[in-house]
Amino acid sequence: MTTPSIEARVRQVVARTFSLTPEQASGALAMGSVPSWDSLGHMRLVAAVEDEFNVRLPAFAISEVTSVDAMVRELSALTA
Amino acid sequence: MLPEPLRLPDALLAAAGSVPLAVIATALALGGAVRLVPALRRPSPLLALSLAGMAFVERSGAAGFLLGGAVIYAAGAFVSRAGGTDRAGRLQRWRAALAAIAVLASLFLWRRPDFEGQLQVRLGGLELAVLVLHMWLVLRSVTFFYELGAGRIALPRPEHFALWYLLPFTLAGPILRYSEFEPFLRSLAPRAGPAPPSTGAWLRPAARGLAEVALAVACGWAKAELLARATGGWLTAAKGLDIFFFAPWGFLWLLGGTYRVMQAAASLWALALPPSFEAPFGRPNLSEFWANFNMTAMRVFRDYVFMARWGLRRPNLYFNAVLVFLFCGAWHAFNGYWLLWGTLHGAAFALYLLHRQAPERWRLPLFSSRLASAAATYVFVCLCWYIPSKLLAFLHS
Repeated sequence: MTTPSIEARVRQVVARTFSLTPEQASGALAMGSVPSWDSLGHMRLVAAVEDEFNVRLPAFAISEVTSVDAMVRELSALTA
Repeated sequence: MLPEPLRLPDALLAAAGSVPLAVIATALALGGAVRLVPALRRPSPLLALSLAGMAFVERSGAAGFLLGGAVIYAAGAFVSRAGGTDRAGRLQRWRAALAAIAVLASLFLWRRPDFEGQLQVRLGGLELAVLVLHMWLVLRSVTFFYELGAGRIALPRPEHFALWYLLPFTLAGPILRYSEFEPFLRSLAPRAGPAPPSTGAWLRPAARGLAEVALAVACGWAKAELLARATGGWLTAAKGLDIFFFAPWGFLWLLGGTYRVMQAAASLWALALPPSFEAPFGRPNLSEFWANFNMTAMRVFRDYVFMARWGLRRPNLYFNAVLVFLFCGAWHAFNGYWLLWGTLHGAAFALYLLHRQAPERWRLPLFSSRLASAAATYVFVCLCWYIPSKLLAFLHS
């Protein structure tokens, strides 16, 4: 899976989880930059991403993947 | 003995006693020294300054402080060698880090007085603490193990670890994770460093921090005077004022002001400390309150307990919310007061999560107004500092 396609899917999941429009889900997105992306929102996002990619993020990575970029990096490593 | 007109009131002196003056003075002096002599901004001189600062602050606990750091570093070395770079190796290292955290936390809860310097030896007429690993150092060590286990950082060189461990700006909090310290370390070139901050850039926050500390002292003083003089109905009013104003604002100004000074002093080394308090009172719910109150410490509990794998699913979200606050309470002290405090906050946070996820028609109208929900959050937070002691006193009577 290529990094751009992972990023596109992550953005779709972010948009779905936080009810964002495609425009809102573009650009630099991170925890705190979207009103509902707080600690609880983050856990919902992680669960949704895991379902979408059929992977399990390592426990220690969950608090690290607090931006779309970090999420894409971790997923790229996991699905490589 | 000062003549009577010049003597400060006992209540004022008692209130001032809560100010960590040695920590504040050390941070400002060492920050100022590096600003005045930029050549000091290299690893070895900074380490020497930090060592001197720690010795001044800890005094008879200095050797114990160093021993505590040596133990944490040795345990970190064990964690970093526990696994390899492949997936199985990462998992193994992660488990070693969790084991180190569990051992440290258990020992700290079990033998806290020993960790705080009460275990002493007599050496040449001096009483020296054998071990000093107080609550902020323990939490900082937890972040060190966690980041090592997660592969976020590699085992640092001993002198770099020592500089991080001895930093005069984090001796009594706030938390600066090693990964947040690394950029500073990389910026310490052998001869040249970044330009020192402008006077206004550090003086304004330092002055504001000191003013907040002074307000905290004034709060403590006014509270003591008021409670000593009030009688009858006025005493009840004074107690109410204490619960809803003096205690919460005094604490916020004392800790927030001290940490603001730490940030300002650290900026003189071109070291960025994360913020600790961002207007927590007036937040419309507990989630926002805790996201802005004692942030560096709360982030540790949030990231490592709430957001970890078991946060959402095992056993369930609400139980885990309670667990986060129980851990946080136990970190303050493993006693009835803090366990009750943790239970109250955890239960309320779980209710908040339930409320937030409930359909719109089931939500309480109170929380649709930002002002009303901010008032309710404020009242609840203040009562949580008060109710446990009253409840315990009632149970013991």
